[in-house]
Amino acid sequence: MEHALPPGWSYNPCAWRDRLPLVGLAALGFAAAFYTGFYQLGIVPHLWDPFFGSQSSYLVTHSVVSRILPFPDGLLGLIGYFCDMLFGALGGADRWRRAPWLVLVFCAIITAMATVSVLLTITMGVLVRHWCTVCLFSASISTLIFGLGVGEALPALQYLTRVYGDTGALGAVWRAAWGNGACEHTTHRAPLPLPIAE
Amino acid sequence: MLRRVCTVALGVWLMVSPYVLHFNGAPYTTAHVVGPVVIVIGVVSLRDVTRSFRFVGLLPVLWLMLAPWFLHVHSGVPLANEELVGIALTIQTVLPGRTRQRTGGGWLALLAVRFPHGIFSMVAQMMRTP
Repeated sequence: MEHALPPGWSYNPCAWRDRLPLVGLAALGFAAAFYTGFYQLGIVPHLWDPFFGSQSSYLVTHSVVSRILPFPDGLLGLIGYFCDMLFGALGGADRWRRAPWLVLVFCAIITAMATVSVLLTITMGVLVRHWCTVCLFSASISTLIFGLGVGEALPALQYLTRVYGDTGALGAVWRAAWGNGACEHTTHRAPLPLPIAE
Repeated sequence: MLRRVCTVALGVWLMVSPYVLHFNGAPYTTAHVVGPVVIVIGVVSLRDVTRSFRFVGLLPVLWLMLAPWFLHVHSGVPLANEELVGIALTIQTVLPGRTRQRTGGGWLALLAVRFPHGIFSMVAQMMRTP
């Protein structure tokens, strides 16, 4: 879809070719969080851990940090990865202009998931001083999704900046963010002004 | 790409170095805090659109290199480990990388529109952000 290409871009970060791998990674993360969460609930009796051993995994998944919330933190990961899959899959290849809110919500979720994953990884090493293979796998998935997916926010933000530049009204930007603005701010437009020639 | 993979590898090394080199205390904590952060920054800067985020990694790397002096770490092995990894990460961060994709002016272009003749356009030109 040539008209889905953001102005001045050589590729479309909202294309299915870029988004489907992220949805697939989120599905893997969902499976890992499902396994961990149900282990923390006691429904799954044993957590597979070929590198650090079941004792180490138990100490991590039943640590004080994992009990801060009123429910196991594995279930929080379950909700997060489900949202990753949902907001990663919703919208077409031109969602950066038809539904910028979808892109921004998706990027906010993956940022939050990556932040929590980093903090939990640091906690594992510094406070608990034990490791868990499935937990590290889940943290790696979150990091990959964040690293590969956060750039999708840029064309949406550039679109909203163009709307503001054309109208000077924040109300128009708000409407455009929810997909209520017309797409005349993007079709066959030059990229945002920048002194550098690409 | 290779440079970013090396950044991630150095982050992983930071996390395992306390067990390989057998040190504990403040250097152990520093390695386990900076390591995951470096890994995330390495992964984020894999793509052309977020390549400039690698400069955010200079902050934890700066801490990595200065921490031994603030925390009075005098032991040779952890000190050398932190300094060498810090130097390697700094070199990988500051060296310019080739980007193949066009991204409509990049992140700084968001500010250049609002201030077309202002400092952000000048900074963008200096940084040669894609």
